[in-house]
Amino acid sequence: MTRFEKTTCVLALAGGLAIPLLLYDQPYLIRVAASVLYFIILASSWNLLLGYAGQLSFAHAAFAGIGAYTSGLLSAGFLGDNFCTSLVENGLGVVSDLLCGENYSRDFSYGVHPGISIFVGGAVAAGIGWCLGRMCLRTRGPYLALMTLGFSETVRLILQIEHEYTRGSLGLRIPYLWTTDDGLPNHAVGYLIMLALTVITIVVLYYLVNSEKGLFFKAIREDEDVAAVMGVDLVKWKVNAFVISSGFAGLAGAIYAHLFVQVLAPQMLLLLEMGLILAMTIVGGLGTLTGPIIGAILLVVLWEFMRDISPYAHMLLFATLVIIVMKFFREGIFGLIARRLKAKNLISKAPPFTVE
Amino acid sequence: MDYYILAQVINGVIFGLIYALIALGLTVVFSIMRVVNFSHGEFYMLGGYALYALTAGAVTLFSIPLILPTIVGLPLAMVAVAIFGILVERGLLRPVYTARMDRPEEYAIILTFGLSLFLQYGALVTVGPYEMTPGSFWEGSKHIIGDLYLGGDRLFAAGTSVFLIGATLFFIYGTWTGRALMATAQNRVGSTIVGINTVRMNITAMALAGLLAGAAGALLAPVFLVYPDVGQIPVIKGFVIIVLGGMGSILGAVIAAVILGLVESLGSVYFSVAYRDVFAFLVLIGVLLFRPHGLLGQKARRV
Repeated sequence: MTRFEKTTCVLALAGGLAIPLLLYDQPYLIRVAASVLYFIILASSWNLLLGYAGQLSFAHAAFAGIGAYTSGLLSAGFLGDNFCTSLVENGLGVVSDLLCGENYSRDFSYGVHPGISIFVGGAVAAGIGWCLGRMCLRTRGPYLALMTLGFSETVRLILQIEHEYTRGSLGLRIPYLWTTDDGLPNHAVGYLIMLALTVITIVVLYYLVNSEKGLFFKAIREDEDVAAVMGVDLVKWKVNAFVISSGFAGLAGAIYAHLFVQVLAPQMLLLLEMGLILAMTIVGGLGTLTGPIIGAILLVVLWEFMRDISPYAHMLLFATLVIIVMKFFREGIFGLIARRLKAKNLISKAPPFTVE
Repeated sequence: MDYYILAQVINGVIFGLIYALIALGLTVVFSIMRVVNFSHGEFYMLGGYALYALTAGAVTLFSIPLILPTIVGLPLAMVAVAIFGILVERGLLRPVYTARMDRPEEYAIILTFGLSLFLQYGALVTVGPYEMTPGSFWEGSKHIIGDLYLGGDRLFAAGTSVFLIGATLFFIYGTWTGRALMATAQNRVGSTIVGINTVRMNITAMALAGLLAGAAGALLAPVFLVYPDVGQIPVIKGFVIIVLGGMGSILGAVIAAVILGLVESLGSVYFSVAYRDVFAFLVLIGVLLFRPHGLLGQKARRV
């Protein structure tokens, strides 16, 4: 990392930490800031799939939904009365306290505490990501896009149809992860939790793509067959890309749901959500770590300004931006900026980590 | 005879024929350009809106409201969508096979997906989320046999589909242009060498896709009305069909379309109505897993 890059990172982090202090009396703006962080996580992890490993998946919003629904169902008492009492009867009172909570909440008396269930949500999303990655090993290009699209829509339809369990389009009410003493959510704390997850995601992705694993991913993106010939374990790294990105998506979906959403609906798995993630990544800059961050911030801010015009105008603008960026400068906004910065030697030109 | 089952079978065939119109366009474009057109569902939507604009009297031209008979509106709507398809090919998709670019597949998928969102939300912003009703092709419901009645519009849609599918098959297998199309699909470089203008073939493929998708959209507009995301479910059915029939296979698409229509109708009788749309996805995932080249498609050979 060059000095300029380090300074930018520190400034960005300081800015992120300053937001709840500056906006402490404006919960709406803190929510908006938190949604920026949510989209940064989703866009960055999707970028690992498409931008680094070259796997175009339309199932990323579905993984966020899987994480949110898994965690939501567990914490809203999906395990149910019988499961929890049977645990106690079998002498597993400790497990029951942990999973079911003794007097956790009046409404969600048999639910898992969200602090535990969010990790289960992330793990389930990563597990399903593993399955999808295995299923998609032989499919590439348009076939992969169709497969993941089919998977995503299937999950959405099942969540919508099985309303006896998921409450379908009525919405599943789930408990807060963090409340103040009066039982209301504290948005500033929620924002800081999201910020922590965002930083973890970015740091993990940074070390991943700047290690030799990153080179494996890029090799697969450029040419799968050549990569395989050169000794890259295609099965392992393609599946790993799916597991890591869907795990982060699931975790982000679960945490964001428990902090800010509160009522889950299958709408969060719509292709529209996928379109948002795609637009942020593409407009920001595919295949760079900074690109999706810039894209998410820019597009959410634009979205907030366009709320007054029409509830649909933002998506029209984003789609136009995607078409323009794809047609005229595929490296995205950050690609344009990076060109200038590289000329001035402000950011590193060569990959900072090379394989011996 | 149980007329309920018979009605479901006939309904399944009718839907299959309409799906075939959508899938034919997709598969022709894929076989010529190696592009899965994710905005094909919006071509379908545009067909419906074009018919509405031409026949419902909501649009005025030189202060005269346009109220054409629907039977005249149908071919005009088809042509309008075909022209739009040509513009898309010319403006957005041409770099896929002329310019040297990195990962053209990724470019094509993202671009057409972006175009799909653009058209959908463009329609939402300009005409709003309201359902619009174009005029009917054949009003009322028709008595078939016993207790069985079918909507005239559905029958008209099925009959027109049969005609259009036949015309398309004749065009592809029976004319020189169609043979040039097949040659381009088989080997792009080879067909250039023997003197086929492959760029013109791309235009032909997109125009054909526009004609067929526009026809499907216009034919079903009186039955299911027109609204901005009307094309989303049919196009996904189209994806399933081209994968099931074998990507790029024309006859395979027609057969797979009728199979899918029947699976959906009978599946909703014997299994669950709510899961009707899920069947298609399960078929899609199953085919991609176990028989990626589909029913009639050729096994892909990697060079």
